[in-house]
Amino acid sequence: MKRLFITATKTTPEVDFNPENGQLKISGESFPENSADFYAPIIAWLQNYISRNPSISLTFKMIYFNTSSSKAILDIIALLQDYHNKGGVAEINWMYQEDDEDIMETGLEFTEKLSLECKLIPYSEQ
Amino acid sequence: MYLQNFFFNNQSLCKDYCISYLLFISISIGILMDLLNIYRLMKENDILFSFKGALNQEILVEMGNQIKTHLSMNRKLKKIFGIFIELSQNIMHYSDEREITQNSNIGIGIITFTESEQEYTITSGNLVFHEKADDLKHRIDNIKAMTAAELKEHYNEMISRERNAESKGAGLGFIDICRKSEGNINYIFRPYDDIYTFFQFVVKIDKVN
Repeated sequence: MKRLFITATKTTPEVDFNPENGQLKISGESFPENSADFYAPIIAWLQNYISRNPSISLTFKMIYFNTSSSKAILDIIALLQDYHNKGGVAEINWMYQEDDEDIMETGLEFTEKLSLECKLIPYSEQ
Repeated sequence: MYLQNFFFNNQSLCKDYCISYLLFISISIGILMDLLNIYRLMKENDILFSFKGALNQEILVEMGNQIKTHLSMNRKLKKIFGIFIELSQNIMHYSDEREITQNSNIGIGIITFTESEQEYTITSGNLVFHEKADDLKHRIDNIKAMTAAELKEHYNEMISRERNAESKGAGLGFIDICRKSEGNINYIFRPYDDIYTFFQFVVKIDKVN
């Protein structure tokens, strides 16, 4: 399976999914004109990857995302939760700038009802 | 030679004067747009910038950059930026006045960013079909009446409902804006013509609290 790498643009995040070690990362800003179009290939890649029964560590390091991107992000999280329910190994790391309460709280809201392992990880600005 | 030049210059001066006078008359009787009035209105209302037209993604990015630059040290930057993006994309996706070309279909509207001593204000306006206005009004009233906890619950409920439908995010934007501005939202609907109602939405963000 090929690595999925999408370069960040002014309105879309960088996506780096490495099938060799299960390290998947989405980082940056997300407010594309059509979120469903942008996230569809990412979700398709993930579905395909999950069918191979890998260990997945998915990291979100978002600076900002709009409401329609949040739907897609929740779809991705739901995929992992579903995989976990079926016995798959998966974890989520939700990274936020240490003074960014909005991203931290959103991460909490998105993950508080999940049973798979979710970590909220603060980082300081470079 | 000198006389010729003098005559020529005077003639062009006279021509310029005539054009100015004609412009003045045209503006006065409403044939030409009164840009001075628009400028004055914007200045008096502390408008930092404004856009009217088909709100495409490129324009949205540029205006977003303006906000980021203007508020670079402000701790409310991300909230204000988020509100601005949701309002702009609301126009882009849901305005009933649209610019349709071969490969795009973009909503038309107006958005302004204002700064006064106490607060920042983002105002958006666009045309909606008369028959849609009531529904929109009820949805906003409903959101406006909610407490923070209710808004959170409503957001989660809407997001799971919308993920199943092929929507671009309709109901979520207003809830998000309401949460980010701590309920400081207002709106007004005014008749525009036989087909459209003008929908104006106002969000205020306090500078201090």
